[in-house]
Amino acid sequence: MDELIHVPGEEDGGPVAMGPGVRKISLALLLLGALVILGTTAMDTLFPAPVVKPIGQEARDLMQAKLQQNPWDGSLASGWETHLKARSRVRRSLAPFWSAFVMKVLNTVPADLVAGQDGWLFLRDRIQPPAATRDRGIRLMGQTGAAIQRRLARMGSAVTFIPVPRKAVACAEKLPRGMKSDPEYDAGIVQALRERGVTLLDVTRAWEDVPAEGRYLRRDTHWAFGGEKALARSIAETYPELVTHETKLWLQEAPTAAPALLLDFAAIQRDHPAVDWINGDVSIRPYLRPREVLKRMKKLPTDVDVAVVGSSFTRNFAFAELVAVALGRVVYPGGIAGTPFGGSLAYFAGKFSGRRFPSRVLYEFPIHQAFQIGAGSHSAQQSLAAFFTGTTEAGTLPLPVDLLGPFTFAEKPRRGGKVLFPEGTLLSSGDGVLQLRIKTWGDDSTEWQLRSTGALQYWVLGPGEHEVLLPVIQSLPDGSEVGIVAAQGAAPTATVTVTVEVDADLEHAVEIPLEPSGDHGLQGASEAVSVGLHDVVTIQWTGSPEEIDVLIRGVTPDGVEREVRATFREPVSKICVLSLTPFEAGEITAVEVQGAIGEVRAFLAPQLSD
Amino acid sequence: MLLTSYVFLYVFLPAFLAAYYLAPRAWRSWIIALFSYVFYGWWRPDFVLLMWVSTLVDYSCGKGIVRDRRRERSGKRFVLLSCLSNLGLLAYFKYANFGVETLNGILASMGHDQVSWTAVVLPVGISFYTFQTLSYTVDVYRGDAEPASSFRDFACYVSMFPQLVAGPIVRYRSVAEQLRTRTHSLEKAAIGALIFQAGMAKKVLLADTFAIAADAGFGADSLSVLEAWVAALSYTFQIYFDFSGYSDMAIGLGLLIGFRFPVNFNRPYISRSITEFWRRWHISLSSFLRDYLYVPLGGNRKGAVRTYVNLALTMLLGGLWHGAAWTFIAWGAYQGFWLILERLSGKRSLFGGLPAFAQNLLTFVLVVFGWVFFRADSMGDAFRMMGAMVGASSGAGAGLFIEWTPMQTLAMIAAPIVVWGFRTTQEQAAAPRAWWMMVVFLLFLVSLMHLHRAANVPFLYFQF
Repeated sequence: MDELIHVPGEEDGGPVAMGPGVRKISLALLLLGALVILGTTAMDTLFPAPVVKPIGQEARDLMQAKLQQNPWDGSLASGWETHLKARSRVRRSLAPFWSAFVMKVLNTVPADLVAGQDGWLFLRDRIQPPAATRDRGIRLMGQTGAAIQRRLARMGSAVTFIPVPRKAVACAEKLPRGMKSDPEYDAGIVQALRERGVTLLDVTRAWEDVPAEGRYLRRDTHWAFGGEKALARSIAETYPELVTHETKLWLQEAPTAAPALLLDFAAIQRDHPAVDWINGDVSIRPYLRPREVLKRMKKLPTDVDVAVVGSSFTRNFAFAELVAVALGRVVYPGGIAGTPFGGSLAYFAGKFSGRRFPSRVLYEFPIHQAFQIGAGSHSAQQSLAAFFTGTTEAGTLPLPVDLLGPFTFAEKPRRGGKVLFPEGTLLSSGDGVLQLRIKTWGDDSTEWQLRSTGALQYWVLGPGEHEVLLPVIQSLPDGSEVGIVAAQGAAPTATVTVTVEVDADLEHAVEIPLEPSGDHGLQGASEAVSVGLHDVVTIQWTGSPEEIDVLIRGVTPDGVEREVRATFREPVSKICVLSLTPFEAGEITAVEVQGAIGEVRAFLAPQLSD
Repeated sequence: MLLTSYVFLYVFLPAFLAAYYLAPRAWRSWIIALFSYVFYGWWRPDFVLLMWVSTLVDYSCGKGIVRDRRRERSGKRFVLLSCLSNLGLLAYFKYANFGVETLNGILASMGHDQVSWTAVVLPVGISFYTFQTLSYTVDVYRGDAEPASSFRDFACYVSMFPQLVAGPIVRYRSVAEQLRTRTHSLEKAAIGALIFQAGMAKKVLLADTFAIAADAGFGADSLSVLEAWVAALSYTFQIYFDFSGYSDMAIGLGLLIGFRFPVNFNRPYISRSITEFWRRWHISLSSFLRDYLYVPLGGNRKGAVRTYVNLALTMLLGGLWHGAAWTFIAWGAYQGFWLILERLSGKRSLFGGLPAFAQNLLTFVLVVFGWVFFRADSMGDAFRMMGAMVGASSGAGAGLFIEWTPMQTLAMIAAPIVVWGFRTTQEQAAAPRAWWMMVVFLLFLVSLMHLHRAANVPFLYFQF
């Protein structure tokens, strides 16, 4: 039989009985232990700590998680545990002291964080992009950016993307020695946007003369005052035409305790005394003066021409105010905290729905948000869907039905809520140049998904008739399957009709003559052809080729050579539509088509005018 | 529910102890069973049904054996039924995924279609309680244990939450008497609390600290020789402090309600041979395997060759018991290999001619290599790690020391002192000294603080 634990005083066990002194101490410790446990229980039950209310996406995620909790998979129990822990007053009062001690003296932080040099903290999951979706993320950001730009252009806004480098890249010298942060990823995002012709501001360049302490806050996930200020200055330098000084604005700068959001991850809440001991950094909080202007800005001015849209970097800091001062004009501050990529754009589109959009939108987003795009994150896709659905006022025209092949669903309603465009049907540059006008009729609320290789967009429609316009954003291979599916299984009472549309004026397209070149090739644009910013090229054919390669070469107005390339295997449709946005309204110098069979024609179509 | 979770420490445990001590003595076993079902079903209530099935079947089997005996029948059919039900549950929940994966691998290599299969979720602790209930039936059949006097006692025995999910494996006969009558005293509770606190400190302050380097090292693609050793040593200490920490907590909780559970660890890393190691490591499992597998297979009674075969089989199955993966089988085979080699050399240490400390050091190195199989995600990873340890496939390094903290250095210094320099928790508890008690209590407070600052890390043995 197994040997049982020996305890002093037990009949068959203890080799040594407890002496009176030891007995007293053991009983005292038992009492103390019980007091610690029961005291905590009593304190936390009678005086629970107030609930920390999450905001923005966090609040939505929490609500979603709560709705999905059930007792059978542990999620309900896990939710209770989190709740109990979060409301523990003892924990929230005492743990920060220990956590601060461990952090300061033993340089030890919880697994979510990385302790860098000089007390810098980094979020671990933002230091390296997820390997599995890294390249896909870069590619899709280029295409998504182009789609957003096209859509805003149709709404009358020129957008400038402001991709803020990750803290681990912008302040790489503060990472632990030897730790890598994949700066090529951030550069790749910028490059991908540029190659798609997306207008952007190079934050890295704007921050060249700003030290690490000025770029990001030491113990927070956001930028520091110096970085914001340099960026606002850079905007004014890049867009001198926006600088008006129509309004006399200035900033009143006040020193304040620097935000230290990352300490939350180490259980040190922001109002705890341990924060002062561990942090102690001072930051500048600028206040826009005169005060009335700030109030006016926040009340959505009717005549605003510049909007600063962005994440918590804009919402929780003074970026919009700094831009206003740099430009000398009122701007619309459209920052939303806790939203994924596209979330603030969706909110902005909602705010300006039915009104004139500002002519320039400065869209700030931290580059780590591209991780979500690459991973097909539900919340990011939901935000993008909300943005595109919120800007359906932009006009589009249906593609000629006879060119779409046998899978044309226009005017072909199907019951059951599912429409599929198989591989080879929707042939485009995958950056929103093709759009799907989706009409639904239902007796009840229905939930829908647009599924493609680049997007999983999700939207909910109430009973009745609805219409949404969603761009087709695809990663490679181009022309892969796209489906519109009822999210909650079959939707027997819903009917859906989908029309494939393009945001270009095909009726006024100009043909680019194609001449034979090589064995199976065709070449066009022997003389340079000027293009507008969001023009498109369509290639049409009559045969059934195995594969079509299209290459369009051109230059931007600055003389930078660019190309648009697409390959479609076993195309079903007889038309492909390629965006010319990358040429930034420069010139096409060559069009090459390989593999097309039958009568092959190329057209240059201008963007639809209002 | 995790023993280190907020809900256990501050809600479940006080409520349980209050209910237990306020209840009349006759109800206390029911209180244990009831709270144990809540404890076990906290994350997956449906899994409690499995435990009820196991409890009902084996309780009935015990009764059936007694009834058969009265009718001068052997009762073997009930042992078979118990084996079928317990091992069937284990086979389905623990090994079905592995079986299908292996089959699909074979089918794929032969160019056939794969079998479609929905992965089965492993109920926590099933390996432990099925072994316990099985041992009950076998012991009753062998006449080594009296059948349970009441269903209440048996349900309490099977479900007892302190050791339910990660051992020690408690045999019915070890606690049969205690189930009926057990003593409660403040001294016993005080010692129990201290053992519980010591276990918690081991887990939270040492095991979880070692987990950082172990996880990073075993997850890396390329390691330098030094990194490989640090990762392997980190895991060696992690698994010891994690598992022995849990055992201490279980034993401590047992004492709080008057139970004395078996000792599960006895300074395993001071062993001078693998044979000795297995007398000191997870003692309740090794004695279980000895009594219910090795001996029934014939043990050493059927000649030298059969002895070695039995030894190998026992260790292979012991490895497989830990998890459904080739790495665990390899770990079992590795342990079996050294046990056979030591038996061949006359049940002595292979390093018998060397000084004691060298024997201990070399045995420890063998154990460390063994843990590489145990921890690695695949055989390929295991061989890569071992290759890196001997310098054969070491690479540029994974930057394991980039985030090395003073806390990890402290753990690396403290671990050998605790392992080689201190008496075990149970030895300390048998003759407690004031300084030990006060240090343990202080470490318990630090552990609570440490737990509060971050998410809970599950015990390693929960997955087995």
